[in-house]
Amino acid sequence: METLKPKPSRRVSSILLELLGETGYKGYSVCDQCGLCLSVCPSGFWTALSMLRILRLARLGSEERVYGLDELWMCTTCYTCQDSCPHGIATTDHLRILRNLAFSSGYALKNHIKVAYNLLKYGHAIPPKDEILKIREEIGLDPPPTTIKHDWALKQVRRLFEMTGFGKLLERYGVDHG
Amino acid sequence: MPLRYPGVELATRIVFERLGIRLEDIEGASCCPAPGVIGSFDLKSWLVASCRNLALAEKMNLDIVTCCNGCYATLQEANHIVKSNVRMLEKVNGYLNRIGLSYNGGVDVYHVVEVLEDYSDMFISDRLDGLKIAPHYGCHYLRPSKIRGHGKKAWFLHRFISLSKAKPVEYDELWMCCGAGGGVRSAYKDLSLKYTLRKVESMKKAGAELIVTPCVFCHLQFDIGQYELMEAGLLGDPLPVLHVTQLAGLMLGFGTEKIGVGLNKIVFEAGKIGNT
Repeated sequence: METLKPKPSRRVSSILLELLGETGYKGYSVCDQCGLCLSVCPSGFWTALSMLRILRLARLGSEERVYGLDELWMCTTCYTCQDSCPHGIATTDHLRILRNLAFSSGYALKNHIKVAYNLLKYGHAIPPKDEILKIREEIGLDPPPTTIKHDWALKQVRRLFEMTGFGKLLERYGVDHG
Repeated sequence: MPLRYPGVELATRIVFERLGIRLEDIEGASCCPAPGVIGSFDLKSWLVASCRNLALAEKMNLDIVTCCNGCYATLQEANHIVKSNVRMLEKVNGYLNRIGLSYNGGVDVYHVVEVLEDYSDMFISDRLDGLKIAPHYGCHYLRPSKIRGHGKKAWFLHRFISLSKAKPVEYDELWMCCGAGGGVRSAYKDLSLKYTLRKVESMKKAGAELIVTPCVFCHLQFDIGQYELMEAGLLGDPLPVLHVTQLAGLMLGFGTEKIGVGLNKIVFEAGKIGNT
């Protein structure tokens, strides 16, 4: 993905503030590196995922150094660290924003692009399989009245993703949703 | 749920019918979209698409109930964001207006367990006497707690299981994640299965005969995940897993065929477990 130019990244904290507003959670500026986030992380049992390190890098303005870390995508977003932080820092939500910046800068993982493609193509993150639709019929369930049934609905969703730039972003990853 | 576990949908519909609650489908809804994975790609698109679902419900004059922690997390959180921040609501409506929709914050989002709790009396019986159940809450119903705001209601699964005299087992990894969320199952399946194995072993050690979860995605991770672990030779006997609405169906006396249990990968044989 070398051809992709990173978008000028907005400061993580301003996005967080805009999104989480009045929740009582705080930004990473109050982090004193106590490391509790690291010690409660289940992924950290097995992987190099360190919220402590990721937030420190972001706080130092080295967001770009975070984008290429494999462990950035090893968090299940269980929010255990966010709920444990003695300073109330929105750790997991910071991570989601850093992932957004990584995703828009060309660092998306192959399998994740597939999930995003499904959402764009079907309006569902998983494709509707004939096998499941058949089972639904057998047990007396109608087809789900969602974007897979209503073309107008799928068009609305695709139009939204066009407006937000998500469709364009996926095109840069070579996704053609037809 | 509709495209992965229609059996859970079947159970939910039959249980709600018995409770006397009429369910209406949101015509034209899309994926919630998933909070940990789509939210990790582009929060703006995630928020706008989830508010489209809220707007459709509002247009039909409905509140929303979901059977999945992921859908709940997305819709509850998106609702929270735009209801607590007028500027964000205006921004979102800037997008929705261009597809002929608008959202005015008129929808409340509930998890199915909140409804089941309200109807607790209906589930009191000795039908599941002695059945040892490992409750798995899943992460996104409870956390982030300052946004979800459930407080003491957090122990609902323990209370609910006990209504029909089943016994919730106490196991070490109660609060641990199933391993599937945040795009980890799709990108790093081996890692996600490490969570699952650790949880299942902990449940078995505590004597559990059955796993119950209120989340369709956790349900999938325990159901298919245990199967994958067995195929890899990492797990001997699996524990069957039921979604909380399937358990609710059993508690109300429905047969397993009525609540779609046969569509789960790990076989649940009524009569072989506890007193069912």
